[in-house]
Amino acid sequence: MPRARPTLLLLALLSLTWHALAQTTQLTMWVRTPETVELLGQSVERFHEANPDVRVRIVPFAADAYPGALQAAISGGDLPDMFQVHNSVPVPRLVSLGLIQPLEPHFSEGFRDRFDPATWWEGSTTVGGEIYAWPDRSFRRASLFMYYNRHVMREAGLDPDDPPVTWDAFAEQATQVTEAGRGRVYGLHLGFTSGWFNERVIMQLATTAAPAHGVPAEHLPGRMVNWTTGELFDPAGIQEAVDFFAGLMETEAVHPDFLNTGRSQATAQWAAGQAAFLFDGSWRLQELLRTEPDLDFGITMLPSLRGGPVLWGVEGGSQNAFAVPERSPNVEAATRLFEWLSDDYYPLLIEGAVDLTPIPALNADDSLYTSEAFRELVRLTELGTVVLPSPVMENAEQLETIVRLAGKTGTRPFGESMQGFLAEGRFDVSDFLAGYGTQQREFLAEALEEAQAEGAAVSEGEWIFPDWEPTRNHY
Amino acid sequence: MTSHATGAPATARRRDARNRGRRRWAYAFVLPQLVLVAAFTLYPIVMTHVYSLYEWPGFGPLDRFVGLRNFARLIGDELFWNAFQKSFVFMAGTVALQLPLALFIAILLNSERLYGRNVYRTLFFIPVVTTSAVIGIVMRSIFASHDGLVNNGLLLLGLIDRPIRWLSQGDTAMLALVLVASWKWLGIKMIMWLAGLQSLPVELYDAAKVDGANYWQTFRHITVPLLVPVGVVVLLFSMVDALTAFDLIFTMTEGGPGFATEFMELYIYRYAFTSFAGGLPQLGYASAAGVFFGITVFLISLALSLLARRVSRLRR
Repeated sequence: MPRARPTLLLLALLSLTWHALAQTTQLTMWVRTPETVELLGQSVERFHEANPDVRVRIVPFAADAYPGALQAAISGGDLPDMFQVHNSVPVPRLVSLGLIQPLEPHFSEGFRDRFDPATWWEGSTTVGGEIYAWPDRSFRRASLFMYYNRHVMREAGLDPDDPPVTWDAFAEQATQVTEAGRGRVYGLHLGFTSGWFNERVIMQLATTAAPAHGVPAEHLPGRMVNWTTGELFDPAGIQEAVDFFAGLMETEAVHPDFLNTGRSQATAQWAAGQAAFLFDGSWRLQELLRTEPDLDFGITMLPSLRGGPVLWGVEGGSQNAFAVPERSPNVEAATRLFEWLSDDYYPLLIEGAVDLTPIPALNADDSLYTSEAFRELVRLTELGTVVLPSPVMENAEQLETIVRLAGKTGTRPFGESMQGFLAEGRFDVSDFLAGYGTQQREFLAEALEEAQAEGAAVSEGEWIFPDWEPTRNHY
Repeated sequence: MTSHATGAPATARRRDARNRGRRRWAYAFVLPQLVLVAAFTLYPIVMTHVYSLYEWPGFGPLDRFVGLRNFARLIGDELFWNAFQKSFVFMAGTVALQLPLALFIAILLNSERLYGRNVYRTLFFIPVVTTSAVIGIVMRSIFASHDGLVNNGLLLLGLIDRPIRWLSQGDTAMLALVLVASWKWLGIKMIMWLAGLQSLPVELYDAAKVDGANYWQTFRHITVPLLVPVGVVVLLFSMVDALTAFDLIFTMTEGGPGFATEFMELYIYRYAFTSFAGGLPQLGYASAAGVFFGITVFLISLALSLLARRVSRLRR
């Protein structure tokens, strides 16, 4: 009998553990934005303490690996309890395929009213006016900036408090750094290997050469819509942006490995003093503050042709929102987590110098700002980020056109092509731009036609906004 | 007589029954393998052909049948032909470099007079068992323009007066990939050649020696002809390695700069699993590319096999 005691104890323990596990709701959360993984993890730990009946497992993904994983999960009917949407499968598409469920009925009363009204944006976080996705940050999200290494600037005889604003000044300073560096230090570095990143660099620089034309935006990848004419791709300014790079390459003012260096590696090399200036995303700031506490650097806008703002278009909603699969029985626990994160994780976004939140009251709380560099980033974001017109806001049925348009891609993607042209030293890209523009025009016509064939009452005129001004928020 | 007459059919029946039983057991043993082959080889091949006839992102209903439109689009896609051509350029480069070099090293290491030959064999084999992705990442820094080992070495030797932008220019990026891939897979080809060399009959060499043949004559008239069957196998393996170097290419150049080192595997992957050019994945189109390329490779392999058979017949 005494021998049986340990066995009985073990069985009892196992039974208790099993019982406890059976009582616990297990949630899996897929995250594709590396800059928020740690903050979400911190907040989820506190959520566990307050909600012992729910356990959340965060699965981080490399950004480039996410579309494939999402595609496999969708086709295998194996989506996790919460996942970040991706522009390869927009929210309306997920809804039309019956893959995600509305969250609105599960949120507590008054939840949506705390947010900036533009957070609940048709075709992004809402469909048919109902919430389908919880935003992980503000829709007013910046894109690319220029980081400058004060130490390297000083070494090259430049004033570290006077970074270049125009292309001419930039070329001059970058050349000066390269000459002073004698083959060890260069003016500019950037990781020009990912198509989407290359596209943003060239297109954002182009907005400074032809500000009255197209503005690039995350929700319309590969496009640069001129909303006055309804052209999906207005190439004005692109050739000038390419010429700007050509000039930097000719004077060797840009790091010789920029065409085959990833963004993280380029940042590390810049921080190590191999270049004075770095073009990278706003998301890089929190990483630099965390991993390079002693680095003396500043952040400013990308240089522009004549000194005007470098533009980036946004729409309301969220490009990185979280959705819950239609089949998930854990929607109640998931929405409970989203409400928790709205209170606990959003402030961390500002404290951690990651991004603004979708709740204006939090963004206005000065005590949350712990970094001067982040304050500067917010100021620059307000200057350069503009809310673009949206055909869906004029006619909700245009969602069908947007979904159709997402499935249409050109034969030569923009970002990779730009990398190829710079590598080949083929700096006249006018033929490519003409062909690319024609193809985009055809895509819009096809998408409208297909949407009409599906019964949507849509027209091309709803893509034209005669009163659009690129530097002004349209809504 | 009668008993004998009735006994024979009975024995035959018993034998048939026993054979039937054996066959049943044989099928029972083979069945699991058949199921596995059907599930993991035949089914994917068949479905790839089916998907190639649809416009399908890889999820949602398979309901947009487009017939041969994906193949027609392939024909007109300059990036497809670019990847198609680059795949064969890469294959030709690695095969042309690997085969003779591996044979040369195998001959050296086959010499009994070479001291420490097992150590050399191991050294040549280490890259084969090293993960391609790791090699790709390391090679990226070795071939870097700024402070890369290759450039530093060439500058030190006075062979160049300014660093070469190895991975930032199309032609040099391709050359770097060919060099690295050939080095990576050299060891296994060397072992194959070595196995071939060690299986050659010693008597023929003794006879040649008696006849007064020198080293070159022996090599040309005995070694090379006898190694042809091994050579065909080495050639096929080299081709397969070159056509399945996805991890090495992806980590070393990502298909760039531009599309200069985008081979078929990478082209298919991009369309099948990424939001290439900002749109939905296009698994149907990628499947069509895979089918087209698969058939081409099959035809080349077939032609090579027929050629090898013909060479063997001529030798006999």
